[in-house]
Amino acid sequence: MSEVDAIFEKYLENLWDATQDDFLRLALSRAVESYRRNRNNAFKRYPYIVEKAKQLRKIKEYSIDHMEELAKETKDIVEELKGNCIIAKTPEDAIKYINEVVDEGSLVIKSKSITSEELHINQHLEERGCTVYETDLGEFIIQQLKSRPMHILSPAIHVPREKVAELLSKMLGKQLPPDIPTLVGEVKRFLRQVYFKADVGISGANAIAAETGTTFIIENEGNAKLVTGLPKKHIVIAGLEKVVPTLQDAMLVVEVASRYANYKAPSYVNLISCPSKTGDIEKQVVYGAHGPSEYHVVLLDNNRTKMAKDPVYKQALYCLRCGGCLYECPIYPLTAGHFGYLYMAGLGAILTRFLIGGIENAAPIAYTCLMCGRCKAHCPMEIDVPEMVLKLRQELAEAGLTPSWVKEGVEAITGIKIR
Amino acid sequence: MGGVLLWRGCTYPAKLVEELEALLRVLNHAKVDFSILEDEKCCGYPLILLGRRDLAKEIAEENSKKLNKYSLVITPCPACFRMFSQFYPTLGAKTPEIMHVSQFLHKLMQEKRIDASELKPVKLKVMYHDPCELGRHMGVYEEPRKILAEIPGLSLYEQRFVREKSVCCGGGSLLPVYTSSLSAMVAARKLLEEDRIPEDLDAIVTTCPQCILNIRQGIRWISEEKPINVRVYNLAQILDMSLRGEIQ
Repeated sequence: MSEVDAIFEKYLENLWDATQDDFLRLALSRAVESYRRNRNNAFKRYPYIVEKAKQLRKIKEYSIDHMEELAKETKDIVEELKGNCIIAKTPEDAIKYINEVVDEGSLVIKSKSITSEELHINQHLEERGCTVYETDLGEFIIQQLKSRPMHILSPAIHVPREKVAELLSKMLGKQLPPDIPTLVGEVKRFLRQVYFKADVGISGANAIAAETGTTFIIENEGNAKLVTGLPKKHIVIAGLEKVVPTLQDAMLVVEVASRYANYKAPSYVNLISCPSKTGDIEKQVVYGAHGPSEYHVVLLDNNRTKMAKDPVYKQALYCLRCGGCLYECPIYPLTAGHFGYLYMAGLGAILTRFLIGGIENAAPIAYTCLMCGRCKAHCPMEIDVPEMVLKLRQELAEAGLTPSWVKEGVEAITGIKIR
Repeated sequence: MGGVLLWRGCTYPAKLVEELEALLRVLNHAKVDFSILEDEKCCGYPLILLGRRDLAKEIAEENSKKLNKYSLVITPCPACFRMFSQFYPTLGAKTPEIMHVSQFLHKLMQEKRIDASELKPVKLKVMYHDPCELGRHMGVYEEPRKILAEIPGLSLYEQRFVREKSVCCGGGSLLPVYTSSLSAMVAARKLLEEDRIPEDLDAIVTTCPQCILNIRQGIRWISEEKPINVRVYNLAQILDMSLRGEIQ
C-alpha cells in the first residue's frame, strides 16, 4: 500500500469512528446552534459588521501583497522600542531563536496559539527540561488529556464535563463533581500558582500593527492577560499574515473576527507594543516595571511568502480564524476535527499542505471536502475554499498523491481508465 | 447547424430512468424539437474533481465537436451544466449556448409553450433543495422556484437555509464514490437538523441527479431508526404530474 493510501485509510477509520460517537454528535449539534444564535444576536446589534468585513478584506489583500515589507516595518519599530523581533524563514529558525530566549528548565506558560504548533514548541521546550502549561481552559484540558484539538477556537468541544471532572480529580488528587463552575474554579486555582512562578509567557496574535509593532490578542478567559503580563519574558509567535499596516486596521481585525466568532464583544483585547517600562524616578527609563522586561516577536514565514505569491492559495492567508466556517460545513458537525489535521475542513486542507502536516496529510482532507461553497457564503473574508481545494487536488494528482479509492471510484462512474 | 440537444448526463439514463422519462414527456408536450446522443459520454467533470485537468481536456475537446453541431444544449445535470459553462472555456473547448433544464423549462413557460392553463393541481407539500452546483456555483436560484410557483395546489415548505446559504446534501465532489455512508449521513443531518423537514412534508424537489440519489440515501438512513415517508422528485416530474393531472 502506498503511503498516501495508508494515511487515507487510517484517516477514514477515524472519520468513521467519529460519526458513530453519539456524544460528539450531540455536543457539536448544540455547539452549532448556540454559535448561530449568538452570531445572529451579534449581527443584529452591529449590522454594519458586514460592511466592515468588506473593508477588512481590502486591507487583508493589501497586507498579503505587502507581507514582507510590513514584517520588516514591524521588526524595525519593535527593535526601536527596545523589543526584539525575528522574521523566521522556517520553524527551525524560530526554534533556534526561542532556544536562545528560553533557558533550560524554565517554567513556560502559554495562551492559545495555533501557529506555535507549527514549531511543535511544547515538545521542543520539554526536551530542554522546561515545564509547559497551556492556560486556555480548552487547551489545558486537551494538553492534560494528551488529546488533540477538535475546533480551532473551542479545542475541547468534544470533551464532556464528566471526563473533565475525572481528569482533574486525578491530577489534583481530590474527588471533583462534574459541575462546570467548580471545574473552572479548580483550574483557576491550580494555574494561579503557576502564573506567578513562570519565567516565560508565550502567546499568539490575532493581528499585529506594523506601524507600532503592537500585538492584538482577543480573549475571554483572561489567561492571555496574565501570560503576557506576569512573566519576565513574553514571546509572541505569529504567522506573517497577521501583520496589517495600522493600529486601526488591527482593531478592524479584532472587531470582525470577534463578531464572526459569535461575540458581541470579547472580554478582553490585549495590546502589547514593547517591554514594560517606567521613567518615574528622575525620568530614567527602566525596563520591566510591573510587566515583562522582554518582548520578543517571532514572525513565522514557513511557506507563507510562497502562498502569498500564488493567486489562488493566497486567499488562505486572509483567514481571521473566527472558526465560523466549521459550524456551517456540512461534514464537520458529523466528524469534528477528524476532518482535518491540525487545521480543519476545506480551508484546513490548504493550511495543512503549506503550514503543518504536508501535502500527504492534506490529501485526505482535500478529497473529503464537498467543495459546496457554503463556507465561502458565510466567511467574512469570502475565501473561495472550493477554488483552492480544486487547485490542491490538481497538485495532488500531478504528484501521484490521489488516494486509490478515489481514483477507482472515478473509474467506476466514468468508465474511463485513469492513467 | 442548429437545433436543441438534450444532454442527459451519466446519472439519469443509468439510475434515474423514470425521472428522465418525465422530463422527456414534458419536452414532448411543449413540442420541443430536440435530439439525444446515443453515444453520449462523460462530460469530464469527475476528472476535474479528481484533479486531472489533462484528462478532462481530452474529453472536453472530443465532446465539444459533438456539442457544436447544435445551437443550444440543455441538460438536467448541474454538474454537466457547470462543466460546459465554466470549465470547457478554460480547457479551450468551445460550446454553443448551454442551459440547465430548469432554465429551459422556465423559458417554455414564459413563452407559453407550456401554458399555465394546462396545469392541474398537484396537492403536495414540497421543499425545494438548491443543488450546490446549480445554485452557489452557477447562480441559478430563481427559475426552479418560479416554475414551482406556477403549479396549482402545490404548497412550499421554506427551510431555514436557502439559495447561497443552502446546505449541501453531501452527494457531490466524489465523496460518495468512496464513502457513500458518510454522504448519506450528511444528507440525513441536513434534512433533520438543518432543513428541519416537517412531518407532513410529502416530497423534496430538486434539480440535480446526484442530489436526488443522495437525499434518497439520507432518507433511508433516517428511516432505519424512524421511518419517514418523503419522496424525492426532480423538478420536471412535478411539471409532468401537473400536466397529466396525476400524482406519481
